[in-house]
Amino acid sequence: MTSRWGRVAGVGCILALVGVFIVGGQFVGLTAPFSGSAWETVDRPDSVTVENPYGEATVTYNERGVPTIDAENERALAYATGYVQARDRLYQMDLVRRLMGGRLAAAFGERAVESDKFHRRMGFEDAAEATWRRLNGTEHGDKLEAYSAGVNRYIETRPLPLEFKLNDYEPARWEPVDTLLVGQQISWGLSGSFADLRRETIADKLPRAGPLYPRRLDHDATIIDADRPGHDWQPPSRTDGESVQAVYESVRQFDTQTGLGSNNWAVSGEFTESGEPILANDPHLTLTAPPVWYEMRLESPEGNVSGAGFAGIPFVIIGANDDLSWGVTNVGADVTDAYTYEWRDGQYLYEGEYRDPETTTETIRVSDGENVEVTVERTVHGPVLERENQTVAIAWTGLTATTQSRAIDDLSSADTLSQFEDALRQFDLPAQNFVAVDRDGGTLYYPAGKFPIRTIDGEAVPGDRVFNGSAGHGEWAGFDPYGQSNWTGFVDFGAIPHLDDPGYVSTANQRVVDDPGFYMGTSMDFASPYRGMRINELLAARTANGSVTREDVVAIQRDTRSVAAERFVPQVLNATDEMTPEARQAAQRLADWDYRMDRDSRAALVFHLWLDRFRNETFADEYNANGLGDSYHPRYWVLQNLPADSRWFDDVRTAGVESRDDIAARTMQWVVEEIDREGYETYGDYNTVDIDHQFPVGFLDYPERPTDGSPFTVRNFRVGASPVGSSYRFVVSESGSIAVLPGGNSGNYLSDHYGDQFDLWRNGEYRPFPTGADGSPTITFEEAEGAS
Amino acid sequence: MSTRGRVVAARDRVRVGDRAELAASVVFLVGLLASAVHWSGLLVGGALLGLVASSVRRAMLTGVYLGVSVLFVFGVSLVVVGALSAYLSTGVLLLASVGFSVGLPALAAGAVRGLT
Repeated sequence: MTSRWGRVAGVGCILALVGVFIVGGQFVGLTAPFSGSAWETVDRPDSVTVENPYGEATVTYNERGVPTIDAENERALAYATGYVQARDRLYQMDLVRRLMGGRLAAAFGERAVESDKFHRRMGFEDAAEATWRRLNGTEHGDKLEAYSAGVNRYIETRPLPLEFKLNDYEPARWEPVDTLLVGQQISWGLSGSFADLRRETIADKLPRAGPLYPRRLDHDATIIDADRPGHDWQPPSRTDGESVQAVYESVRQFDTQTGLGSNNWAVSGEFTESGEPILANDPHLTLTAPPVWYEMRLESPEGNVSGAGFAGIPFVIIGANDDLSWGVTNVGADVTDAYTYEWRDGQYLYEGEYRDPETTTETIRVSDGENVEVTVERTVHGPVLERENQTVAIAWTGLTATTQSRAIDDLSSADTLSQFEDALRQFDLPAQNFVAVDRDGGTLYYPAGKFPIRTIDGEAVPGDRVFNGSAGHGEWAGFDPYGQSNWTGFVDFGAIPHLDDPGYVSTANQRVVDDPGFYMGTSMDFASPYRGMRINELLAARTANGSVTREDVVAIQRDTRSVAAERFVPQVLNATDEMTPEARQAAQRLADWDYRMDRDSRAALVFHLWLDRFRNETFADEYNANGLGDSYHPRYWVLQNLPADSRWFDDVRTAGVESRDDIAARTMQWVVEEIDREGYETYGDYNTVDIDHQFPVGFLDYPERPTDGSPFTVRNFRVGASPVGSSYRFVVSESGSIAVLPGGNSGNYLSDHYGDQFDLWRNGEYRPFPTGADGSPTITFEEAEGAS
Repeated sequence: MSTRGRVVAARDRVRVGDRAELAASVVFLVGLLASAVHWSGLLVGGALLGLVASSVRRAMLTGVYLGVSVLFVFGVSLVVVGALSAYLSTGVLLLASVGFSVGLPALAAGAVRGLT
């Protein structure tokens, strides 16, 4: 018999249960053991069979979660790739298409509205649709459709990643345009630039700073080095109507630009110990969780290819097939222009008449908020934006139908360097420094992409300015925004400086060549040459006796010696007379330093903090007073080469006149205080890699750990809230190819491969490059009955 | 004896009779299996434990045992696939998972035992 107390307890329990379900009911189904939807993406050791409308395929994951996808034909391969990428990276894929399509706010609310407005105004999705109109019905288009079907098969039948459940939304169906949007995202990140507007802003607010942004940095460490055997590129003589030479004559200098960079180099068998070529590549992009790159191996009767691509794209972008290996770095070419107009009553002047901009109103859906309407305007040149207090129209080579996707597809199937070069003809953006080697030891360097020729009154002009759109200045002939361009006003592929069989060649985003024969970009586009100089120094030493090994190449990729430190440290040591005793003591640490940015180095810590602050101490007094933040500061290469008595070292806020020594000494005093305040012991206390997931839930982030390298070292790492560094390192060699990702190949937090390469990466270690299936398939695709 | 009386007598035999431990073990296993299939198994298992428990206190205690056992078996399954460490790092999700696992069967058992 239940006592009165027992009945009271029973009622209490019922009330407690009701309370639990009212307060946290939605979390029960999410977090309960076994059945909780949060745990559905755990890598179960079972295998599944999936119907594939295009044919048979198998997916076998290796010990690092890298899939080998083997299919009986190309479309079956694309379908299986879609399924597999959705399994491993669906949330990342959805995030990218939302970003580029201007649909983030529908999932993330008001904080994403400004981003959506920008992406809607730019019309990236319209450009992707223009590309799809071109590809639809082609063999390549069929692959994109098969890939989309594979993604959708996963979405419809398998558990969604944890992030969707935490944010309580579901992904829409994947379409081929979404794949093209992923390509748009990486292209815009690497080649979309408002440098022209930045330059104009500086000119307006601080005119005398102009010389700090030269068209060409004063160095001779170009990619194509005329003094090196095999680097004897000459502009071809031209017989067609468009005068590339005229463009070249109008270009006086080239220069550099902040942003994302990369390293790659190729060494032919002539210089290696084994007689086989070796290729290395490490693209420097924002470090994210999961990583930007997705590694895979694709096998079909057409051939096999291993390497990395982007989730959402069914092709390997950098890697190796049975005959070739290749890698890329960003050229940094200027392929974005801005145009201003005379406006009157909402119309813009063009070709002598006032025209209405093409105007549409789009609705941005906002999760948990009011929908927002955005007006999208376009002129004949492109989308209208308001930036830096200017209303401008933007032209970017990605805002038209492109053949980038098809080019990437064709690169994978090239059997010879000649076929590879042919595939590059279609690679329109983002302009990339391709290096490639073949099994026979042949090498190739080609900065492929579309380079616009700007003209004013028929004369070719550089693109480092905001053009008068009303007067028709700087237009790109043959470019049709959101349409099908014929590219007549762009540099011929054959006229682009390149090297066939250079022996060895390296690229690190520096200026391609002194005289390319046309306008390619300025110092705001090309990187400082620090990394390039170091790579060439090491390659020259190792190729001198013709016995380069894979280990040599790995040592170069891991190299932490800073050429920037070599150049700046003498300036520090020259200023010790102006320093306090404690600052002088800190500076003396640099005297015997080997310039290596290693985590256990105290000198590296002192130098890094000093350099960071030194630029600010030099320029901030006048830049800040004119409303220009530190993002406007000139390049370190420019700072390095300022004379000791440059007026930029004078602090205009003081009565006296400061020199470089004064500023260097003042900066070192700050460094001493900073180190004391923060309790830093070595560089690794400061130089930590802290990679966050884009979904703001702490446990999805990778752990914060010390690492080596700096923005100026071959082993590239830029510490910060959004760290940048080697987003994928790989070395292809006959003696064993190796690679590493800054995290893991799976985007599923509960997978064993979510972050299993993180420590390898931060410690400069590698694991084998995927070379084929070993073991039983995890996923088997069987041809669906009735499928064609 | 009325039908209700026979049911009550049978219930009491299960709760305090010679086979009380056996009955508790059987429903414990049923609850464990049900919990592995769906989260409502935590409630069902708890309710069954309440039905066979000799007191409210014992009912809630065995409910806690069930929840802990479910967590233990789930943990073992995560060890097998190398995901235990990730599970233990999920912060609020882990707290909710543990809380629901232990709380739901305990409260369900207490409610059933207290009112029957």
